[in-house]
This record gives sequence, C-alpha cells and structure tokens, in this order.
Amino acid sequence: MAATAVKVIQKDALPSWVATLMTEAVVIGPRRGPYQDAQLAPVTSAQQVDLDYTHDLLPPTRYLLPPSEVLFRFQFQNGDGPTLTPEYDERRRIFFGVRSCDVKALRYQERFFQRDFPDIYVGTRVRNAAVISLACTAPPLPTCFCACCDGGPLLRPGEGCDIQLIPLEGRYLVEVDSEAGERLVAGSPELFREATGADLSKRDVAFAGMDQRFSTSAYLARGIAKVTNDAVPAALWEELAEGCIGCGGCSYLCPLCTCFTVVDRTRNGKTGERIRRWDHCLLAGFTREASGHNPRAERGVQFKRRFFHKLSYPYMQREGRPGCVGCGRCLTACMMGVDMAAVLLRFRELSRKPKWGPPWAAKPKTSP
Amino acid sequence: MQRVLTVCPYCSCGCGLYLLVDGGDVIGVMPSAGHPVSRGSLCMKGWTSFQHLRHSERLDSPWIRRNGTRTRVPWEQAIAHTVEGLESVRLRHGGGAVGFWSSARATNEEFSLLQQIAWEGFESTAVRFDPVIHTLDHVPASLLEGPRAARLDDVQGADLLVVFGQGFLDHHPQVASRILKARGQGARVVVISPYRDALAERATLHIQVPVSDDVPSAFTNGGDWLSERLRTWWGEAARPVVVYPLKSLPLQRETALLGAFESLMGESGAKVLLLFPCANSRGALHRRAGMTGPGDRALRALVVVEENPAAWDARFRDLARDLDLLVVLDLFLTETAELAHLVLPSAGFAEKGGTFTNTEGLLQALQPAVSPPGEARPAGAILAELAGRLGVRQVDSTSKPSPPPIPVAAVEGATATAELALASRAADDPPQFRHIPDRLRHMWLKDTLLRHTDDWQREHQDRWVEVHPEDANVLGLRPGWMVRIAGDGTEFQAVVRISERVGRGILVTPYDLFEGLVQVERSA
Amino acid sequence: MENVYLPHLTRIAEVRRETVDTLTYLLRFADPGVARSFTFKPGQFVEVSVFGVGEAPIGFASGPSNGDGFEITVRAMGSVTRALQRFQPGGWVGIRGPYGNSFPLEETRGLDVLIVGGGIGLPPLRSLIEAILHEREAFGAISILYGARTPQDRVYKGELERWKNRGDLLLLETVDVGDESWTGSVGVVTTLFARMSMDPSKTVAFTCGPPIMIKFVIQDLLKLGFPEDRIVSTLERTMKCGVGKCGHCAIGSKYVCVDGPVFTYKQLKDLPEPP
Repeated sequence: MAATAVKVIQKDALPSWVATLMTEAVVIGPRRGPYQDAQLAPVTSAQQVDLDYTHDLLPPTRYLLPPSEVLFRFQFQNGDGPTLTPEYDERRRIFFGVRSCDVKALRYQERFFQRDFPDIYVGTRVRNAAVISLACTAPPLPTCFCACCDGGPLLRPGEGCDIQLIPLEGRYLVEVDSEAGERLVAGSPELFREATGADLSKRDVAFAGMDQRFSTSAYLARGIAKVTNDAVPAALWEELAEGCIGCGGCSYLCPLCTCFTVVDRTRNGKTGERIRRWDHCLLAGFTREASGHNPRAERGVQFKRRFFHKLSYPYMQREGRPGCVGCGRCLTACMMGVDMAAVLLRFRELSRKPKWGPPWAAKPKTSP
Repeated sequence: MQRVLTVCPYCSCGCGLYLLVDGGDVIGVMPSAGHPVSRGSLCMKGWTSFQHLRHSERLDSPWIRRNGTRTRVPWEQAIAHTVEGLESVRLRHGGGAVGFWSSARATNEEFSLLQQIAWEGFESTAVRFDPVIHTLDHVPASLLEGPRAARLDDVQGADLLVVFGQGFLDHHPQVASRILKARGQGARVVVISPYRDALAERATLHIQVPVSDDVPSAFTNGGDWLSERLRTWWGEAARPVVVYPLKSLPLQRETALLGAFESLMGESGAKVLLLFPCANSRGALHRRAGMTGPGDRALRALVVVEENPAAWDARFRDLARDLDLLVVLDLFLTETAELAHLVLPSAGFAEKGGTFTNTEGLLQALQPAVSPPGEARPAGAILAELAGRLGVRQVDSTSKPSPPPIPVAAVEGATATAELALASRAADDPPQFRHIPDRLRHMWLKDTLLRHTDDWQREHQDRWVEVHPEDANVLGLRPGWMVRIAGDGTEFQAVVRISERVGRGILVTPYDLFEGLVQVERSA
Repeated sequence: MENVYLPHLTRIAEVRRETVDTLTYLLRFADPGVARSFTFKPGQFVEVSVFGVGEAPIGFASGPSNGDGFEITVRAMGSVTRALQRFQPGGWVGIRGPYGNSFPLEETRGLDVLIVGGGIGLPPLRSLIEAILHEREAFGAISILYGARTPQDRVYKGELERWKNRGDLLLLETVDVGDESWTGSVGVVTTLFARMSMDPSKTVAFTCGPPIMIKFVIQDLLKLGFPEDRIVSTLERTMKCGVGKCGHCAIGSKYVCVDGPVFTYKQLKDLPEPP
C-alpha cells in the first residue's frame, strides 16, 4: 500500500496517542532502564514513551521469536496416549518506535518462518502485532552501519511497517503504510493533521547529506563476494575464531538470527513440556550427531559457516536479502572484537597488503 | 516479557544482566548495555545462566535419609531435625566440632548469617566460604583496596599489562576482553603462563613457564625479573597493571609473590588486579574467620551451603563418614547431597535477593524474578530460620544497599603489531611430565549449576589433553589416541591433541587438581 | 494453520530385534483419519518423539504401499534412540512428517537399479526396494549389494533371504569379518562389484551406509563410468525441527531436512562443506 496518506503529529501529542493505543493492545515502546539502557518494553504509562532513544540491545524480533517458549505440554494418564496441549501466544502488541533495521529484520523473520512449513507460533505473534517504526535521520549509535546493508535508515512503502514516523522539529511525519496503520491513526483523529509541503520539504532536508552521516565503510558487498566465492583463507577464519569465546551474543542479539534447539523437560515422565530455545552455531554441540560424528567440530569452520549463512549469495536468494541489517548489536555483544564489522574489515584487507590491522593481524612465526 | 536486572552468578567479574521473564518463568537473559562490567556483553556462562533454573532435577522439597532410604519431609520436620542434630553434636563434642561450609556463590547476607550461626551459635571457627581460596590473611590490604588496587577499567587503560596464568577467555572473559582492548590501543602485554593460549598468542611477550614452579619469589625492582625486557618495560610504563588470579600458587609462594608485587608498586601509577574466582568470593572472604580443610577430623557435624566437595575432593568422603550430621542446602542432588542426612532445597540466583561483591570490590544487588520451584527457599531464609531456632541474634538478610555508580570507560580502537617470544622451560626428562592443574577451568567443570546447564553439558563432552609434538614423538603418540595419565594418587584419561601451545614436558588440564609428576601412556 | 511441531500419536504394533542394538518397530497411527491420509515416499523421514526425552529423525524403513502403518529401524545411539529400546508393543510414540525429499523413483523407471547398502544404511534402502518390488515390471535389472561388519550386524536377515530367493533380482552379501557359521563372502562391500555386471549408462545407483563406505562406493561407481547425477545417496545431520527452521542441519545453503536427505553425487560435490 503506497504511503500516500502522510500526516503530522506534534511531539507533545504522542502520550495521548499512546494512551489510546494502550486501550487496544500492549504497547511495546521506548524507555530507559537501569544504567540508561534503552529498552523497547511494555509501556505501563503513556508518559513513559520518549522517542528520543537509541535502540534496544534486545531486538524487537525477540518478542516474536522469544529466547524460549513452550511448544506444547504433554500428559500421560491411565495408560492412554499422552494428551498434547500446545500453547499459542495471542497477545496483541503494538510496537512503537521500532528502528528501520529492526522492521526489515522483522519481515525477514516473518518470511523465513512462513516459508515451506509455516510456523504457527511465530505466525500467531506476527498476526497480532502492529508496527509503528521510527526512521533515523542520524545513526542513533556509533555502532550502526545500516546504510551498508540495505538495512535503513528509512523504510520505503511496502517494506513492512504499518506506520513510519519521521522525526522533524517538535513533530513527526506519520507515513501510514497499511490498513492496520490507518486504523491506529483513525482512533485519535484530533491528534493528526495533514502534512504540508513545508513539512515534506523539511523531511527532505533532514535526509540530505545522509551519506555523510551514515557510514558506508562496512563493505558488505565485498564481504558477500568473498564469502560466496570461498575466497577467504582458512587461516583467517581460524584466527578470527580463536578470538571467539562462543558466548552466542552475536546470534542471540542479531535480529536476523533464528536458530533454535528443542528440548523436552519432565520431572516424572508423566507430565512435561517440549520447549524451543534459542541456540547458536558457534558451538561444537550445534552439529554433533548422536553417533559422536561432528561435521563442524572446530570453531574455525563454525565461524566460516556463520558468515556463509549471513552473507553468501545463495542465502540472499533464499531469504530475499543479506543476512545483516547493520544494526550493530553484535559489535556491542562481542567482547572480543570478532563481530560483523570487524570481520568485514578483515575481508577488505585481504585485497590489499595491510600496513596495520587489529593487533593480532600478523601472526608471527613462533620459535623457541 | 519483563526484564529484571541482576548479577551473573558465575565468575567474579559480576556482569549486569537482565533476567527475561514471561509467564512466571525466566525464559532467557541478556546483558545490560550500560553496566560498567558487562557493557552489553556476556560470556557463555552468563548467557546460559537461566537454563538450570527449571531443570527437571531441581530439588523442590526437603529430604531426610534414614536407614539408607531418602524420604520427603515437611520443612518443619527438616528444620527441627537439623537443629536437634546440631545441638546434640555441640553437647557431646563442643561447638568447634560443627562446621559451616559454603560455595562462593552465596550472597553477602547469607555469609553474614552463616558466620553468625557459627560464632554466636557454636563458637566455631570451622568455617569455609570458598572452595578455592581459604584465607585472605596473606594478602596485603593495599593490593585489595586503595590506589594500588586496580579496577577492571584500569586494565583497559593500562600501558603495560603483566598477566599471570592462562585461560582468561574461559574463566574471566571480561578481563581478557579488556586486556585485548588495551593491546589494541598500544599497550604492551606480557603473559606469564605454561600454556600459550589465544591471549598469550596476541601478547607482546609470552614467558612460557610453569607458574607454580619457576616464578621467583623475589619479583621486585632490582630482583630476579623473569626477563630483562620485562624489567625495562616496567620502568618505561606510566600505568602498569599486574593481573594475578588468586590461588594460582601454593600459599607460601603466593605470599612471597604478593609481597613482591607490593614492593613493586612504588611511586609509579602501578596497580594490581587480584582476581577472585567466583561471583562472591571477595564478599565471602571478607567475612571468613578461621580455616578448616577436609582433613580436619574434629568435625562431627557439617552444614554445606550450595557447595559440592564430594565431587572434587577425595578426602571429603572419609570426612563425611565420620559425621554424625551432614546437612546440605542445594538446588540439585549433588554427590555431597547424596551423602547427607538432610537435604534442604534452596533457591537459585534468579529467585532471591541479596548482594554480591565482585573482584574489584563493587557491591551489586541481586533481584528475584521468579519464585523457586516447589518448596525450595532462599538459603538466607533457611539460615535465618535456623538462626532463630538456635537462639542466634539475626541480621536482616534482605537488605539491599544500592551500588555506587561507576563511570563507563571509553573504548578506542587502535592497532599494534604483535611481537612474540617464547622462553620454554621444560621438565628435564620426558617421558615424565609435570601436570599443572588449570584450577579455574576445573572449578567450572565441577560447578553444580553448569552441570545442569544443557548447552554447557552439550559442549563439554570431550576430554582432551594437549601434548607438545616433540613429546608426542618420543612417546609415539598420535592425535586422537586415548591416553592414561597417572601420578601419585591420580589417574584419568583423555584424548591426545598435538599442539605447540604447551611447553615440553608439561601437561595443563582441568580434569584433576593434582600438581606434580605424571606418566602418560596409551590406553588399551 | 497446522502446527508442524505437534506430533501425531502412534502405537507400536510390533517390535523385532535385528541386531544387539537395533530394533524394527511397526507403528500405527492412533487416529484412523491420520492413518488413512498418511502417505510417504522412500527416502523421506519422520521425527520420532519419545515424550520427555526428545525427538530423533529416522528414515522410513518400509515401502509406502504396505497400507498398515509403517516401519522404522532404529539403532541405539543417542538419548532418544536409547530410550526407544525399552519400548514394547503398545508403547506410544509421537510422529511428525513425512519430511524431506525422496529417492528419484519416477526417473528410474525403465532403468536398471543398483542398490549398495552398508550396515545400518539398509533401512532407507529397504523402503526403496519394497517400492520397486511393488511394481517390479516397471524397472530393469535389480542388483542389491549389502555389506555388514559381522554376520551379527546384518539387519533384515529374514528379508535378505527372501530377496535372495526371488528369481528376479541379484543379491550379493559380504561381511568385513566372518564367523564360524558364515559361508558367504568376506571383504568390504566394494569387492562385490567384481562379481556382477552392469551397464552404467542405463543404471541408477543408490547407496546408504557409513560415510567411509559411501566414499569408497562412490569412488568405484565413478570409475565404472556412472554419471554423477545417477549416483544417489543420503546425508545425515543432527536435526531439531525437521522443517528447515532450526538451522542445525544446514550445509551450504541447503537444509538436509528440506532439500535432502536424498542427494545425487553431483549435488553433494557442489556443497561448500564436506558432508
């Protein structure tokens, strides 16, 4: 649906709008937590909402695919077969203030889970979610690199939000992009006015010079080429992987990572549940088979595999876009400096002789 | 999904993490981005710290063992039985025969209670609050507090780092991270360890020695420096920081080394980071008084709080046999709990309040996010009830002082080339090897919570030992072979990997605490 | 929307012991509606649930035209398959599926068939063999070569006899190590190639078994002149969902549970990681 209906809402009218939204659904909106942590979390009072925030370290996609969830409970009784009771999350949510990178990731996940064998758990949550996004006129964090990855900072019509908010001075442009978005605006008509030509040209001014503000140095395209062509030396994968402690932070916090494991839990064998829980591929246990055979036992090949999944052309074809939106969360999560941006930088240096690199770039010959 | 801020229960870094709660369960965790220690990251232990909470083997009611069988009993009966048993031992053998042991994961409030029960209830000094470190008496106070005591961020801001030991990426990753960042900003990093791990590989200089033996006790200005280069660099540095994990050396050598550190500090801006092993080791050891070890035959009753000595101390089973009463508080039926007369189910870190003191001395509060399962109760509540019945004056175990704010250090990126030198001092004649226990990794392998964490167990299924290629040649060992490693009173098996990271004649493993000469031969 | 993670319930109708650690189970759906509508093709697999323990991906071991339930043959390896060993007839087992692709049966019509199985690789091939024998006249010459480590490790001892006694196919067996009662060949399964003749230009070869055996079988088939897309095998990977979501079975840009488990040698060659 084309974003033809552009409106404007004043900044100080936001709490009133949020208050109305809160009567319809849980509003997952921005607030500051302890240690000034930016969070997109259930809003308990409309006054809490303050769009002057960066982004949540936990991506909003984790509301749709939570860190762990019960798939079903089972119960054996009287020698009959078990009764299986699935649990679906039908809670209605309105996401308020989602960054463009996270909206693209959300739709990526929606497509991923819808394909082949549709996932009813994610599908139920997506069906019950509305998304009001917040475009970035400047990178909210120094770790952002969305412009390198087709991850933002703006959403075009049809890219998956119900409403896109664009910050101007003292007000927001409100670009409605779906029927659901229409309804969310129609609920408080007095708070919105039509955008004028002046508003729209202010928007253009806000986005002029974006190239300067948004870094384009992550060289994702080069990374895609190198990984697709298997042109990264094994020694580099091993060196990067050696710094990796397998914490999983990059995968847990990546808005496009979807891997999970499934485990059963029971205290007495008669009742219990089957749970799905986030998992990550930088672990030997991820691919170890029951026989003990492990096709990816060493971290070097696990690391190579993860970047193949994120960056290779076959996966881009399969999933419709590269596996990175440049949100920068892995740069924060990785305490060892082997995140996406660091890895892309190393790829870039493969094409030229580095004068300098990260401290461990040149692996010296060792001799006693 | 709610977020409850608390503190990681594993190492002494004390990362701030949020428990993610939905439907009354902790469904995940995530790091706090603004927290001064975690800064948005966690290690594998932190990320998986919620998995043990609803493990199917969580204890959920008290048990009594009578005539070889275990029966569930109500709390009232369990508490009464405990109190009677302890008082009976006091009457017959004196209060000093009652011991109180705890892991270093108990909160400061729980330690306070335990200590009060021990002193005021029994006049007992048989108190042990950390499985690895038993006393801080030998540690100079100036290295623990004050201008010479380093904070974690001092590590990152150092221009010279002298780091003792290996495995920081495993046991204190936030420290390893800061060392690497300092390196990236141009700091010189000297690693002194028997094993060239990933951190040593990236150091400016790796002095490959068995720390337990060849580190001179006089490590001082003008004294016997391990390397001329190190002495020069120390003189040139404006902000040198020494990083030393406590209990890396036997007590005497450690005392000498710490004394040497103290005299090294001098006029310069030098600092020392003494690394404690566990989440509340530092909090525990401040409250410790007196010392007793597993060989102490005077004990006739023992209360063990969330610790599992039976899993790694061969002498514990003998001790347990002589006890009239062994009471264990824990989340799981550990080997120690199997030996107990009474097992009291306790709450996990996400199910209670209290405070931890991290290795820097930073005081942080836990927040409970969910209820413990079944009838399990926080150890503090159990101890408070015992204290009441024993007539001991109680301290409010629920006080939560707020931690002082600490400014977040800025992170710069820069580079330097790596320059690596190896000085290998091997044992004189293979095929005898010196086995050097990796104590901290050993501690984690035996950790009760990690043994009930799916992802951790899935990861640590294989046992392997690295052997230097020249040693492997002499012994005729090939990679993938199972070998038997045996010494005086120790024996275990592992799969061989050939690696130049370990010095000649040295084996570094986390599978046994034995320190000394071993033979290696292929298993049948 | 259907819930692909919710198993259907089956009951074990029969348990047969194949070897010391391998059992064959005949499973029937508890719900007659499901039983009627359930179809599958040889090469596909199901996710088998032992509630409270977990799931394991197991290939169909019987032909699709049996009608009365289906069979799986399971070797005790991990927690699920070990738990299954204790199950008796009447036991409840969850089943999700059928998943995966199937052996290219249609494309093989009119051609000769060579089936080379090793050890516990025979079960999925049995599903293929039964489907082929169900329409014997649609296929050319059929040769089955089976190798096991020892005579005790042979699965489907009964079927092997029955197949041998049919007049319309060739069955050759060998073991790595014989015993007193074994009168057949001793040697690896590739030694059987010398004892038969085939025309690679009109034969499709299907092979399943331990990875090392497959490697040598494929080597020999290529030497004999088999085109790369007429050598068909299967891949195994640890799986958690079976429906291409959990990520555990991904290899290159393929998911073994959706794009496989059946692959031609041509496809295997193109994978960016070793199988």
